[in-house]
Amino acid sequence: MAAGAAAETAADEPDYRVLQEAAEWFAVLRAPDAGDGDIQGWRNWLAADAAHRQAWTRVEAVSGKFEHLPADGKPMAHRILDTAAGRQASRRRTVGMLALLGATGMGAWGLKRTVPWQAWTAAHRTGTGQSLEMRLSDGTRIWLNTASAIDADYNGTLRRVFLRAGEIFVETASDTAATPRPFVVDTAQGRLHALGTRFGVRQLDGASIVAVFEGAVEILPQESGGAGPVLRAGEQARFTASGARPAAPAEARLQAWTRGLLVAEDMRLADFLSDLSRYRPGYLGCDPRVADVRIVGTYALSDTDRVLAALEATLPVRVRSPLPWWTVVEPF
Amino acid sequence: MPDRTSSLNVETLYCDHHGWLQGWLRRKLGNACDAADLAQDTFLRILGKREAVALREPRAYLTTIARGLVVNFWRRQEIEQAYLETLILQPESLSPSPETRALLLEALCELDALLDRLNPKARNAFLLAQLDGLGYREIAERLQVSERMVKKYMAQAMLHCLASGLRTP
Repeated sequence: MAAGAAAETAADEPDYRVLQEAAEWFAVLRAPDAGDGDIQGWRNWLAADAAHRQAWTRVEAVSGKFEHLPADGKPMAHRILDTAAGRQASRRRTVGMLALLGATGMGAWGLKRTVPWQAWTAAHRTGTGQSLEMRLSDGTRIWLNTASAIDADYNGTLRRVFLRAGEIFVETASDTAATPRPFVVDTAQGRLHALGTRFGVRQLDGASIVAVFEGAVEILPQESGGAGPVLRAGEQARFTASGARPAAPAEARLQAWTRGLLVAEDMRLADFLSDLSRYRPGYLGCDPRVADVRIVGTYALSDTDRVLAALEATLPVRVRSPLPWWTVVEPF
Repeated sequence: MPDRTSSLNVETLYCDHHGWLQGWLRRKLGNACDAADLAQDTFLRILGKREAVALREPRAYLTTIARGLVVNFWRRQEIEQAYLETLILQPESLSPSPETRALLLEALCELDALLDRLNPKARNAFLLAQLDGLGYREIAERLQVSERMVKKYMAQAMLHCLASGLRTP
């Protein structure tokens, strides 16, 4: 799991022929008239060879990139991509011409910059099912969980990490600068001021969660006016812009993912599946009739299909995929 | 000491070549700020690689990585420009939140790279299906081709994306 990003680029590349077949199956299943026969054919193809399954995970990854576009941005995405592609084509023509004329000085390229690009884009990010471990210039280590994005901004007075999406785990190092600079993580709801620590932060919709495993972290919700509660090791709290909830015991799962594990300590199945769905493309649903089944256990995040198979083997449930990217867990 | 073979020690690499790399990037980009950013990104990229690399020519290694980042940087600017132009056309109530914008922009850059150099008709069919949610019949009508052709375009576009990791950047 920790090597997810690397594993994608390295090692055995699938056969082009197999990719071709996978692409054809995609076109068949995506058609509005795809029937049971097609789906059965596709399943047989999948079952026939591990290389087929591997190629199919690539199809899912590509189609996931579209599915995971923010819904309110989709309508304009097509236009933006077309405009940009037009520009690229004309840049290529121009670059070709410049080369022909033997001209140099590409640095003077005439694109105007209206907005600092770092304000718009996250410098480090992971896709669904990937994770990333990185080390910042002062030795601070940061792990990015699935579908996460951060910006790191170190200046003369502050070491700042902005969590744009998803979840990170931070292990701070003492500052290398002559005057030690504070280390903070900013989320959409406020600032976390680290006091020599290991801690996890997760950005939810409209709230953030922080869990401290070593040292302490001060929570400064946006509207708190510069003072907030301090969490000690073993505590976790959820906060919004207006304030923090009382501290609760830190959940192991907020740290376990850095080792590629999903830990359930007497968790509701619905909550477990919603957590698991963060690591796989497509939709993963839970039938309300089994939502309250409790689960305990430790599962490897590297293969979410195996996690689902394990649930089937140990709980009174079955896993059904009516469509390629749609999986539901139902009563047996 | 550009030609000494040594196992990759990022600190040494940084001390010896950071200034030089930043100069190289400044000449390419014509802008000191972006050059500093990309030089930093180049070293971060190297830090992200776990395996030690024996470096005979560290500067060639650095420029290989930096050149890739420069290309991405230009593409990103083109996307960003197109994005801002589109945003201006949106009614205020429809314009997405800053968080959404950052994610959208990042995702668009990724898609743009995936679709790079795909045949325009296949590309259009694929985007009409994946982004605009159109069915094959509607796409066929718009593009004035048969539904069978649309299916072919879809497969062609998907194959292009699947193989994008196999192409050299």
